[in-house]
Amino acid sequence: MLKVWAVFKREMLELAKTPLAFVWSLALPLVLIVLVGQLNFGGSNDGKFTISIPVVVQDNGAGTQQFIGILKQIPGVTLEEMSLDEAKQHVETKSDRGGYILFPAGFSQSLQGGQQASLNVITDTGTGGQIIRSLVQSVADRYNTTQLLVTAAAQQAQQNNQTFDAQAAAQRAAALQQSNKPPITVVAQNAGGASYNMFDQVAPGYATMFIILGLSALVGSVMTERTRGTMSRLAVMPLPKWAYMTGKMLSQFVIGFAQVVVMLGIAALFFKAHINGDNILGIFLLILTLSFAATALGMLLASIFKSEGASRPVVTIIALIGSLVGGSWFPIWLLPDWVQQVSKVTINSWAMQGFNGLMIFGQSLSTVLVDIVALAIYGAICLFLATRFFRYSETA
Amino acid sequence: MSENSLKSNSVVISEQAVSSTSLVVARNLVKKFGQRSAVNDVSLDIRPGEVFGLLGPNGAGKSTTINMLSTYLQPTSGTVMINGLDTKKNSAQIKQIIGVIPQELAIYEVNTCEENMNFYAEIFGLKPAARKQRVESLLTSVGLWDRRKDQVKKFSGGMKRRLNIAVGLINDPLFVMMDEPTVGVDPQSRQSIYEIIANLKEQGKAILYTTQYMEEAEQLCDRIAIIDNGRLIAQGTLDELLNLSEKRIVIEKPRGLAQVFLQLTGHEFRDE
Repeated sequence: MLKVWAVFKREMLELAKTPLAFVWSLALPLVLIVLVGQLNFGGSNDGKFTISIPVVVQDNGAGTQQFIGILKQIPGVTLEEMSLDEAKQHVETKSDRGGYILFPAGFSQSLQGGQQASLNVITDTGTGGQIIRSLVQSVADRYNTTQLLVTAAAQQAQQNNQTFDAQAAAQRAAALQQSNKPPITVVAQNAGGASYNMFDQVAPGYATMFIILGLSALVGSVMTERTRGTMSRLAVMPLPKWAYMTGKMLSQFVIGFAQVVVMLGIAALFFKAHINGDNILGIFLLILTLSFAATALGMLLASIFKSEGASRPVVTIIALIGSLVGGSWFPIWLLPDWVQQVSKVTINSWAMQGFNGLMIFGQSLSTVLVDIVALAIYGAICLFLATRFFRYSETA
Repeated sequence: MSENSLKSNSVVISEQAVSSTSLVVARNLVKKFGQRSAVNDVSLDIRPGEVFGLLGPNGAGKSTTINMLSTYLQPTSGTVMINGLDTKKNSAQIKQIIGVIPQELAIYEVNTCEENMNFYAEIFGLKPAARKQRVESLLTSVGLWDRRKDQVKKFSGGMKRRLNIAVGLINDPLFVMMDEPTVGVDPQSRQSIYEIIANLKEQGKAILYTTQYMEEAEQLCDRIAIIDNGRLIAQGTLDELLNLSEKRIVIEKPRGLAQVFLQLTGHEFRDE
């Protein structure tokens, strides 16, 4: 135990000699907590959950009414029936609703006839839209039991003034369930027209975060050369500063580029992220400029800081806070306006704006060109500053 | 004993005054870091085929002097000419003709012996054929050719030192600066290093050698300068230093270079 105490005491003494590192380890979580607490993801001020969902009813059958009835029973949910045009306006133009539900003609008839019925949920990609999709899906899942199906069929038959055969209805419901097809499918679409896929946000978001985290590798590599003495050796050899910096950056650029390509490639191949012939050029250019900007920022940090210990907390802050406010962890449009403005200083913000535009909103290359150019300029500025600050010798 | 003709404050200056055949000519070198003068008015000459020893306690200014000669640091004042080139104006050309063997083991331990050599050879722009020949020649001369494919991190301290030397000679320099190259080295490796230095001398290289081992300086060096507190306090051949006598100071009859050194620099620890 004495030996354990000796080791523990030495570690604490070392920590006491680096108070800045201790401050960072407390300050960073506090900053993150305060920032995340400010984000207010659509919650109401009085703490109660409420949501108002537009409903477009193109089917007046009993099945539709039954489904709507179940939705209304969910606490906090209010349904507002309106026309398709009005619903689109609320979601796409005014953006004061997260989405709407559309019951197409024939929905109830399909339920009565024991066939698979489908309804549409059109949402934006914000939290409101996610909530609407979740609510509708949870109600649709309840139809996996026979009871609701039979009830829906009975109500439809009554509406049509038809004779209701309960046994036949139960058999049809059972057959549908045995076929492993859900009685009700929910077709989710985003308001821009394309269908939404979570990996369209997650894949580029985390790829961007990890390429920023990779800055520490570049910074560490330069710092190691300083402490090891190889940089001093190179300083007295005919190796110009720019050649050394370019070689270092190129290696990190290639690694970062490959990292993002692999992550997005896997997301597209296995998780159906939206990368296709229409947006692949834009995505390629985004990855190129993202890798360049991140690498240049890494070289700038390596030029400013004289030790890895000093640079590590800064790299961590840039990676974590940049990911938080820059849209890597959740869509940037969920954030308050002032955060979205501040986030423009981060690489993440420009990259995610471009990726979201191409992969989620179906925007064209010309629309996201501003994000590509912004990343290129970001990288150029960092590179310029790095060349001004970089020194082979600390004392020259 | 001739007086100083180099306008330095050295107690003794070698009879070899300014030589027009000197490859390295340093005049009145000063280097200040803030208010502190790390090197104060140092002048020296090194000829081709000569091993010039620079001795001094810790913090005396040896490394700072080497750093100025190698272009790593710019002097606050004074000049350094190497092969007729000014270090301030022609640093890029000078870097092609000098070799620095630092006290730190400035090699990449993750890479192999051969990869290290090839990397530095490429920095000097050696073409593949010349590079291959040069790498083989140097690694053979330091006894590492058979271990060329091994990672450096598996080497002993002596082997790493020998590789460190080989790297410093990759460009076949005219002027070689060796900063305590035998620190922590086994006797066999040390002997090997002495042989390398002897070969370099035969090839006509100018060699600046720093060490804290007096017997090394006695064995290897043609001329020796003793530096302390940034100033050259004695300079000459071994015999001249051993026969040191000067009006301003009284020096007991020294038995060896170590005694000369201690009498000139004192017995206090230099823990800088």
